Amino acid sequence: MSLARKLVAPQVFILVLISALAATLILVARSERQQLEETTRRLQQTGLRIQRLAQLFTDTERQLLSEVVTRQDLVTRGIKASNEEIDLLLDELSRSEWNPPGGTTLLQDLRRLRRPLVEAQQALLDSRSQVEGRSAFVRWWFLDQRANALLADLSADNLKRVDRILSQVAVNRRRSDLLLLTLTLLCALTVAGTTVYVFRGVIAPLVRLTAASRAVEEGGTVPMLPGRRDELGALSRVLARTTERLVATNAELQEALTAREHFISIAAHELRTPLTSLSLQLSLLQRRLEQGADRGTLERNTDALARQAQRLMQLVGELLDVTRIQRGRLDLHRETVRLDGLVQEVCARCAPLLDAGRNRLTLEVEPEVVCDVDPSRLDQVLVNLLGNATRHAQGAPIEVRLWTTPAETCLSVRDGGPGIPEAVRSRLFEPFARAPGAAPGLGLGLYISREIVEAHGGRIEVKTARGEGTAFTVHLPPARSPVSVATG
Amino acid sequence: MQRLRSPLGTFGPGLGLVLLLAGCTPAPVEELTYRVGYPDLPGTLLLYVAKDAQLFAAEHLQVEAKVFPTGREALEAAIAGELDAAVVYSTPLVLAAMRGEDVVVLTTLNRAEGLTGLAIQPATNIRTAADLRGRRIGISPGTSSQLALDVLLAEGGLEPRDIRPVLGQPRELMAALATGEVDAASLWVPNLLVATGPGKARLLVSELYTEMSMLAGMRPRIEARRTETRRFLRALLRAEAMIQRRPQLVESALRPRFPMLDHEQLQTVISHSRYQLGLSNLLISALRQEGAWLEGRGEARAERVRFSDLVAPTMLEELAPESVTLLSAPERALR
Repeated sequence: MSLARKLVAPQVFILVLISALAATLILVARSERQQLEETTRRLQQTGLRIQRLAQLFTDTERQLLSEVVTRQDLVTRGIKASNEEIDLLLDELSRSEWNPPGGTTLLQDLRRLRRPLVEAQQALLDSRSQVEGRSAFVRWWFLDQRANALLADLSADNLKRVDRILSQVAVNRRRSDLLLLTLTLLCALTVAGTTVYVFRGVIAPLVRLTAASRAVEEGGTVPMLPGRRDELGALSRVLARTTERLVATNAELQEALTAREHFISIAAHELRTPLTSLSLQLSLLQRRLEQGADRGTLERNTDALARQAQRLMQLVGELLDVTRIQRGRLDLHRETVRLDGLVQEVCARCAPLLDAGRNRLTLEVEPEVVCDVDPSRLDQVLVNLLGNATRHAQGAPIEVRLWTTPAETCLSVRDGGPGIPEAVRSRLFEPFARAPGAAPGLGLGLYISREIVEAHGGRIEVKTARGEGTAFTVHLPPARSPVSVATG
Repeated sequence: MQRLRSPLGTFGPGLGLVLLLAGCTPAPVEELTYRVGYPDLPGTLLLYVAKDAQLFAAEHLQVEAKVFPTGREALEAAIAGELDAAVVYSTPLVLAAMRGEDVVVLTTLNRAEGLTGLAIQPATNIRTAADLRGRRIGISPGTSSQLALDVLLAEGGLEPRDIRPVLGQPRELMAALATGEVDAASLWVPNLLVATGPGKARLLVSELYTEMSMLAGMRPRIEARRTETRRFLRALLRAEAMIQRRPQLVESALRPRFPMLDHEQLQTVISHSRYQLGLSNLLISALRQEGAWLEGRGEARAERVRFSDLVAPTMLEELAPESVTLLSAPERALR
């Protein structure tokens, strides 16, 4: 869920809840008021009518019982009025949907009583003899008593209905109070829940992110907010990734800086040696020229100068190669060459070097080995490996082999030296890696060789054991085409 | 090492749950006994229905019912302490109250019109109430049939002294009517309908008289047996609700008990009756009329009866408030 939804949804929920609460209460209150007003009005009306009717009955009863009915018209009018009132009452009760069980029964009784009562009243008024009068009186008296009792029952029923409605109103009031309380509690709980929710869902993560961001200043990283799919989670992830990348880049830069310093230090040191030697040779040459030295002496001096210059050229070349490799600009000029010839030529060229180290070279070359390589670069690799062997073989024999398999072309240079110390093995192909007490050099030869071989799509392996010598094997992919072979 | 669990640890929670449930089970309702007496009349219908439908048993009430020839005798048994309550009509009740007995009405059971009246010997030429002057009329004294006769006489412009009363139990009166020993007999259903009809006695009833059967008892006894009385009333209320829902229950309850009535007579009884529990001003009015009538006949004692105190509305009102429509509360309510 998005942060906006997280913040807005609870507010909307509370708003809806409060609106529902208000609407419910308003509706309940309105309904109750209408019900109460309507019922009260109806009951009041019925009660008044019953009261009026009872009064009419009483009046008629009193007049009839006065024995001397001198004003018959008055009694007749009274009877007529009470009958009309009964009709109105019956009509009203019928319309007001008087509920059973008591109401319906009373209504039926009153309805049934109306006609006999009117007849009895009229018979009493019309009676001429004592017997007739007594008979009519008894009849009227029974019916009158019953009518009065019925009116009393109706009144009581009416009052009970008022009581019931009041009780119902009280129950409704209690119910709405309970509803109000419940909804208020719900609102309070929702607000509390929302507060906790917003705090835990928004504020707490922000606090954590802020603290983590401060930690970044001190070199830490921003922790992810696991499981969060909102904007804070996304922000956390972006920050974490950015921080990690920054830390890694920083480490790389630091490493590169260290490497550069190391490189400069070594390069300066290594360049200084031949330059010093060159300077000395030049001073010596200058002095000998001033002394008028002979040609042979001068030629020895110039040879020495040439060697130092050559050495400088080699060092500078290696440094340039490293720069190219690190910039990814090691260009290869591939061509299909006869490797057997190239190997033999390099070995022949290095013969003085081998002789100087008193190393016996064994050359085992498979004839007509063709490969797609940059011949000058592969030459450089072999020279590096041979130079490395002569430096470490300590007069032991050196064996150079060239052979092919269906899958690759292999070139190995093996020496019978003491082997590579274990501490150096893991860093063997790293730039500037030099064994302790090793001969002077930048320590770039194996690094450059590996890069050249890998640029050809091959690989270089080393097998070494203490006292059993070292063998470097170059594995190259086979030639793509055997035609137009150039000899090395 | 595996830990061994004790049996209590294994079964403890289950046992606890069982004990908790056992604790929550409501205590069994005590079975109570209630003694009631009644005349075998259609006015007793609600008791029949309640009994047939096992409504008393549902209230955990074992009703020991005793049938009496008349409501008056049932009431006398209640006054004598043999019964908790009796089904009775207004006249015996008012008479007892006027004697000073502390009787009280718990509810009316039935209201009927035209079911108490005169069975006229067909050989006579009595057509109206006015023709009863000087006639031999069979009467069961102390019953509501006596009032019904007096109302009929009054409607005919006569007084009790204008006839020749022959006193006897209903069966005796029916026999006397058949043999012509009496010209008419004041009877009530079922005897009234059995005695009258085509080829038999003619029927003469007053539409002014309304008979009301009611459940009554002695106030102290009812107060002492409040729980039982409430259960009894509740069963009767359920019976009333049953017959309102299923009116055919009335006939099915009455038919086996009154085989002497044919279908038409039974329908007459049913259509003239209203089986409804209640305490109303109409009842008070009827009791008051009855008291006035008895006083007029000189049968009442000097002390005055407060008729509104003859009803005990508390229990019925608690169970069915709408059934009580009294304007004023009795001064001597049940405690």
